[in-house]
Amino acid sequence: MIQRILIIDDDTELCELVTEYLEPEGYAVDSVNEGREGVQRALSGEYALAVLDYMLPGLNGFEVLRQIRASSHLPIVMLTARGDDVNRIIGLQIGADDYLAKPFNPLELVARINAVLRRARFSVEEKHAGEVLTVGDIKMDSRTRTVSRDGETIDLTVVEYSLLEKLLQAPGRILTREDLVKEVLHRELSPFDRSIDTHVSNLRKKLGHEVNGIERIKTVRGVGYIYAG
Amino acid sequence: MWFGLAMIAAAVTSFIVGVIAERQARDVAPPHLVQALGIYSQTAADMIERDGPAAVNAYFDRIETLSGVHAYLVDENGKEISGETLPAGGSELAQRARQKTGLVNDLTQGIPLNAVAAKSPKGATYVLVAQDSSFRRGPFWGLPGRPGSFRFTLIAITRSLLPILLVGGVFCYWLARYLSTPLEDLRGVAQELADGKLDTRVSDKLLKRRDEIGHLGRDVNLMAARIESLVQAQRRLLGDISHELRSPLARQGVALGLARRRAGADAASALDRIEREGERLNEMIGQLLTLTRFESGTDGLDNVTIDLGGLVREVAEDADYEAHDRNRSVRIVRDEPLSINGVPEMIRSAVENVVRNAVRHTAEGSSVDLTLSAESSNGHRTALISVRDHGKGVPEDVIEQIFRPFYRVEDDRDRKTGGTGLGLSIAARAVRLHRGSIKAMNAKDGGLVVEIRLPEK
Repeated sequence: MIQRILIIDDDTELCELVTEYLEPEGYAVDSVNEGREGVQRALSGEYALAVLDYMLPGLNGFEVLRQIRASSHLPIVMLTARGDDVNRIIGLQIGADDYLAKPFNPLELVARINAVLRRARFSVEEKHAGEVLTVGDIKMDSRTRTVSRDGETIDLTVVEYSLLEKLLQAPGRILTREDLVKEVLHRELSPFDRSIDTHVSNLRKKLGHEVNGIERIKTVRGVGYIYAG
Repeated sequence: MWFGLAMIAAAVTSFIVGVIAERQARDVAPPHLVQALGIYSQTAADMIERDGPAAVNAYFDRIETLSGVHAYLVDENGKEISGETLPAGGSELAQRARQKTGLVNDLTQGIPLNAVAAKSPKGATYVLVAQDSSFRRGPFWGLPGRPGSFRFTLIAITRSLLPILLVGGVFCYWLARYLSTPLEDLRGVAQELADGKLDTRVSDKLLKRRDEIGHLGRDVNLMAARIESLVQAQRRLLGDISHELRSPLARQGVALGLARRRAGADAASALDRIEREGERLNEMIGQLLTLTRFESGTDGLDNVTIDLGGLVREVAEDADYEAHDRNRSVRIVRDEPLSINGVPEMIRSAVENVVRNAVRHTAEGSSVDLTLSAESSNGHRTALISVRDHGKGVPEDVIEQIFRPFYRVEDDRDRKTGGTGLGLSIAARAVRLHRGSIKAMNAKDGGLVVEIRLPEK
């Protein structure tokens, strides 16, 4: 089945070029040049993924992201400016699944789109795995894709869910950043790439930094993370 | 404060002047005293010749009982008629009295003396010397002293002045507060603006004033609003420029991807070249924008505490990861917990640019060594970040110039290793904005050492 991708970017020429590039890769592509329309189309349910530029006329990129996330888990890859750490981190915190800095190599764009879609596919499949994972005060039910802490439901993005799953499946063991990026973001770790750190930070915030006085997710500097809670 | 000081100065001066004036004042006495002494004197002069010394003494005793004045009568030979010794200064005063008509006095004595001369019916001159024994230089709040004396006046004045002084003092204090509080407020606003809190404004209370200070407050508010909007406009502009300059590069990138797909093998190297040049352009845009932002100074407003150790470690990790691709490494040789005050992005940029430059130049298989340590001199502590590579170093005659924008050491390898020639100038600018210093020197056993010094928090 051909998957449809929505591009939300005000640069019409770029949209044409990207469409031309993605179609032979097996995707159907639609573009939209304005924020509000972008939100509407994204929520229409026709698309498997959206590529969203951070700078848009009308509603700005982050607002669009926020509004889509408010009612949908639609996979989103955000296009940011090279070297713009702040906006990239904000995007990931609001709930973008991954990012790519402009200007980019289109091969990278395809790789990230594929990775994000693969992850989304896995989560659909895992829905039927029928497993409840309980570690400390956290319970993960992969049948309903819900996470709760001491009975209270916590709302996580798709990426955060996968990341937590990986961490809980190996409690007390060090998981390297390279492995986490590969298995959660489905791509290679690139230099100066802090996206996995941002997702960990988001998880910490949502689940609580400490559990019974110990740090829930410990950072092992230069290596990776351990779930210690 | 000033008003209070002025008032005190005035009071003290007038007090001193009064004391001196009175001390200097001579031969002045209240009229009733002059009259009384004149009468006593004439009566005594008449009595001595008519009734003799005993009668005069009796008369003087009566006077003393009634008015407290102790009197002496001095004849033409300077002798006291009843044989009593004159008080100190009495004979001189009597001399003076004979030469002058009217009352003379000597206020310098313990008890002031007054004297008046009178002629007896037989034509002899007698001098009455009077001492007011009721006059006491007692405690201030004792008898007020003779009417007309300085002390009397002083006490009278103080009695009415004290309430004035008290009220005046309270008023002065209130006035001082009224003036200094708004000035402190304005000062606070100015400091916050300088620290980067551009939304700070003068308090409403100050704005409501209708005096010059109120006007000043309103003007300061206008100024703060203008600064805020100018800085925001510039930040927006730089953001827009970044976006606009990168759009054609973004389109080019995708078009390049399409070209690669469609082109044959022989086109590959040319396409690679196009890609590389696009990369260079992109990097240059990024760095020029960074340099502009740093130069404009509007970034240096948000000062926070920076954990230098943490920052250097992060940069080293990332650079090491990148360096491994090219068979080189970055490691931290020495580390110390140090903090500085500054803009984290700028310091990170500075360290990153120096380290990446070092990675580009260090020999294959070698490592770039970082040290973080503290230096002390004149009671100031400085953080020292030292980056050492194992490359070819830089010729001594041009080593000062490497921090200039676009400067490249004239070397083929330099261009091939990438970089834009802007990295070190960005580092230099960022370091200088933090009142630090940066310098480069060739290491003894080959390679370049770049030292960044920053004042410690």
